This record gives sequence, C-alpha cells and structure tokens, in this order.
Amino acid sequence: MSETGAVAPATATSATATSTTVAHGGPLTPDVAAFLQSAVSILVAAGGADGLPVMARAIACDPDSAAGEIRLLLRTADAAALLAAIAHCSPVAAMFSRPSTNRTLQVKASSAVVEPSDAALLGCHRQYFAGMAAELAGLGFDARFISCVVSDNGSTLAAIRLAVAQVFDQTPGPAAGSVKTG
Amino acid sequence: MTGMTNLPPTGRPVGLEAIRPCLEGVIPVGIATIAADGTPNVTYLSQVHYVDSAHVALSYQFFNKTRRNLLANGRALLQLIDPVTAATYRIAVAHERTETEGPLFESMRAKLAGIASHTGMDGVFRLLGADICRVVAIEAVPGDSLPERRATIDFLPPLRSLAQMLARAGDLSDALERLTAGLHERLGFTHTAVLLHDPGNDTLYTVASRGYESSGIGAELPMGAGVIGTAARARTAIRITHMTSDVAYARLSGGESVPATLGQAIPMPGLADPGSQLAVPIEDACGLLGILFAESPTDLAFTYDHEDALAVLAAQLAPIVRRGMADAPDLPEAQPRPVRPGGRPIDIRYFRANDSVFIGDDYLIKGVAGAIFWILAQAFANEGRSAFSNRELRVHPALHLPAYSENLEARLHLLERRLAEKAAGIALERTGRGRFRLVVDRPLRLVDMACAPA
Repeated sequence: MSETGAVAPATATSATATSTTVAHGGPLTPDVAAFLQSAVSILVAAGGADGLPVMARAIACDPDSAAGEIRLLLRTADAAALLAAIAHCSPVAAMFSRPSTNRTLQVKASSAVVEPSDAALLGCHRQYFAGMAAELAGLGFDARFISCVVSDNGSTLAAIRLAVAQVFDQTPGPAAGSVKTG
Repeated sequence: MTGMTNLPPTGRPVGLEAIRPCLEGVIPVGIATIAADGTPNVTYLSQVHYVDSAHVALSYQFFNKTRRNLLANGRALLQLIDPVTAATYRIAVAHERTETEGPLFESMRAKLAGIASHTGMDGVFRLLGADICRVVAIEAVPGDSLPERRATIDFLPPLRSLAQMLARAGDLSDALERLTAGLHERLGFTHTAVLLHDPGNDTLYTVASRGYESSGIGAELPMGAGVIGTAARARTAIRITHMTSDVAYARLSGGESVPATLGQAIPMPGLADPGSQLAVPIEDACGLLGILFAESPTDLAFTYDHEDALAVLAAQLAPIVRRGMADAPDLPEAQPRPVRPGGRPIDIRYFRANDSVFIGDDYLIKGVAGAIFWILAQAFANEGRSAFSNRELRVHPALHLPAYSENLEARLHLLERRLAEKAAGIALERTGRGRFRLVVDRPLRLVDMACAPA
C-alpha cells in the first residue's frame, strides 16, 4: 500500500490524526515507541518558508506512548533552518532507520513545538549514543566517526515535541510506504 | 574533540566534485520532499549518482511518496555523510528529467546491484529510472568531522607519465604491455585486463591482462555479460565498490568461462571473490573498441578518481587500437631464405568449421586469429616462408576480411601472446610496423580437419 491517501488508523479507541495529542491506541504503539528509541538513524524534515524542504539529524528520541507524543533532540548548530520552519508551524516528518536491518519507520505530525532540552532527553541521548556506537561499530565504523555523527558536537541542543499522527513502514521492499497500524 | 575539525558555518560554497565520496553508496542518503499540501516526507535513497559538476541522478526504484513529491514540485533536499570524514552535507536539487535507459541508467543499475548486495537488499532494489537533478546549492553542515585520511593518490603525474608512454608505444602489443605495467606500478591497480570488441560476432576478447594466475589471453565474453559486458553494451563506465551477488553482474571468473565448444574455452582472467570492479569503455567517434577493466579483492578499492584515471587512459588507448585497423604501407623487405628446420615435427590440427587450431592436443586459438595462423603455418610448411606483412593478410582470399574494419593488429597480438604462453616451439615476432615473422624451430605437420566437427 502506498502512502497516498494514508490516514491515521481509525479504530474505536483511537483518535484521528490531529495536531494535538493522539490518545493511547493510536499509531505510537509500545512496539513503535521502542523502535523509535532504539539504535536508529533519525532524520527530521519540515517545509521552509519558501516551501522548500529543510532537514536535520536528531540525536535522541523520547517517546511517550500514553500521550501519543515523541520528543526529538536536535543540535541547534545544524538544525537552525528546521527549527525555524517548525516555529512557523510547518508539518513535520521524522524517519527512523536501523542501519543493520534497514527497518525504517516514518512518523508524521501536523506540527511540532520547539522546547528546551532537559535532563530526561539528555539521558535518552546517553542511551542512544551507546546504542548507536554498538550498532555502527558492528558495521565497521570506528568510534571517532560514530561520535561525529551522533554526539552533540559541542552544539547547544533543543527539543521538538510532536503528536504522532501517522506512522509509515518504510523498510525497503514491497510494503514500503504502508501505514503502520500497530 | 581531539583529532576532529569543525566545519565552518552553513553557507560555505562546496563543489560537487569535492564531495563525491559521499556518493559511493556506503552510507544511505537522506532525502526530504514536500507534498502539494505542504506535508514533508523524509526517507533514505539507495543511490545518488554523480553525473557532472552541476548534476546528480537519484535512483528511482519505487513510485513512492518521495518520487510523487519530486515530480509534483520538482525540488528535494539531500543529506549526505562522507564515509571517511563523517562530514555532513546538504544538497538542494531541482528535478530536470528521468532516464529509463542508456549509459547513465546502465551505470546506475550496475552500481545499485553492488549497493543492494552490500546492504542486504539483493532482489529488493531494482532501478526503474534515473532522475536527473540540477544541483541548486550545496551546504557544508556545521559539526565535527575527522581529518581527511583517505589514501590519496595524486593522479595527474602518473597519468602524464602513462599518457607519454602510450604515445611512444610502437604498436598495440607494446601499448598494452606499457599500459598494464603502468597501471600496476604507477597507479596501484593490482588486477587489470584489456578486452577488444569483435564487431563480427559482437563479442569481446581478452588481449592483455596483469595480476592473474592465468592470463586469459584469448578468452571471450559476450556483450552484456557481467560488469565488462554491460559496460561494453551500454558504452559507459561501470564501477562497483562492493561485490554483488546479482546474477546479472556476477562475473565469469576464477576458472569459469563463457560457454564454448568443449576443449576450446579459455578461462576469463578474474578474481574468484572480487570486492571492487571497474570497467571503462575504449571508444572513439566510430564506435566501441574495447574495455579497460580493473578489479580488486577489497571493497571500496576504486573511487571516482580511479574511474576518471582509467577513462583518460582508455581515451589514450583508443587511437592506438584504431590504428591497428589500418596497415602501414607495404615496405619492401627482403624475404629471408626458406627455413627448413629439422627434428620431430609439431602437429598442427586445423578445424575449418570455426577456424580453431590445436598444437598437438592443446587448443591454441580460433576465429580470425586461428585462420591467420593456418595461413602462416601453410606458407611455412609448404614454402619455407617465415616473413609476412599485415597487408598481405588483409587481402588474403582465405581470410575474407572486410577492408578496414577488422583489427588485424589486435588479432596478431592475440596470436603472438597465445603462442608465447604455449611455448610449443612456435613464435610470432614483430619485425617492423605492419611486418612480422613466424619463428619455428621444428618442422610443422599440418592436418586439415576440413569440415570435421570441432
């Protein structure tokens, strides 16, 4: 199934996608949440003021299944355009891909909120960094290389909070683009 | 961070050539697009291919949201990581056109097969098209990166030296020897081969190799077979940096050979387990002349720079190969006294069906080179003649050669090398441009197996 016309799963217990919180039972299932928090590459995209895409890497994800929300940690040095687009109410897409398996999910939200980073997110980043270090070392990348990709790089950090409206399975193959119904 | 550098702020101008290592397919490229309703989409793209200094080609494998968005509003943003330095770049691109066949498509399709194999996606990745995009802007993303520690070769001095060596080559044999030696000694290519195109039966035949246990001189390959045959058919450079198990590109190597009549197959020179392969066409305005091929047992052995270097040398080799199709004017040469060596005869068997020749029980050669040898052997055995010219072969009625389209020089080179490898007491020696001599140290006993099945 392609992404065209994809909508949030509408079950008796789930709310349709909105820019606000999706209730428990929505697309952010515990299984999805666990994957988003695991050793996955995270790229976040939005639409800039000129209508063109902007993108940056996130270096941690803190999911809240109960609230149907996730928080993503960004380096402000390389995410300035993305943060500006989000501040201007752009819808948001975030891709999570496991390097060793190619399993890939994409999360979409109608908007997001920019917040300061906090201790909980920094704790997520420590866990994430360790997980990615092991994941990428297993693929032959050395520790210094991995650090460049997923450390804070000395940048100030910011968070974005978004209500997960839709989750798509984007693992390469025939099912790529299908809506994840949890 | 120790040993790391921090890239300058966003906006620093970066040329596409400088970031070609990011396009090797080692690390997937992120691509962000925007739908008509403003919804963003972000995913990984298997392959971004360098086209020229102002264009890249995106692999189109599935008609997904990314592609719909790209076609709808024509814009995308790519995020790439250098696989050595970890430096990140973003490239804004504008879609121009889609190609579904032709040289660029073939090159990307072969490369994608290697990437699929590397990422465990064999059988999943299939190229449907190459989306050619203009590069609008390249941004060096601020962040840590490692110092450049790529094993760099300064390609220009060795290229200059090799180009000069080729320019001074006396004939095709000399040029091939200089080229394969120079590729090894000056540019570090450990395993190389040169194959020429036989327009008569549309195959490729090996005329030179270096680095292999068995030279494979004379081995034939159909057009379209493996990396070499695909590069020849599409007349495009193909570089695979990871061994692929894709059936279409699995090369005939390590003792395998193309289907041939039993007893007449010369194994293609080839590594049993190559990590990287690079095939570059040798061509000119008149068409395909052959393929310059290199391979390595290690992954990622060849970069875009290696591909550029081989392409330059293939262009240098092309006029030398073409020259082999036109002979030097017949210069008068005193015919040496008839040669009548003594000793135990060497048995030569000739199969007219496909012009194949055996020395004793060993297969020597077939096709045009086989027919040439049979003419020479007959002249030697019957008249004691040992000196010959290209020109007389060109017009010899038994050869039926088209006036100037057959590369006689290449056939003679092939025959010379095969005779040298067999070391059966028969040799071909060049005595000047367009002239050569058959050197035989025992009598020849010829058996024409006329029309017998080969």
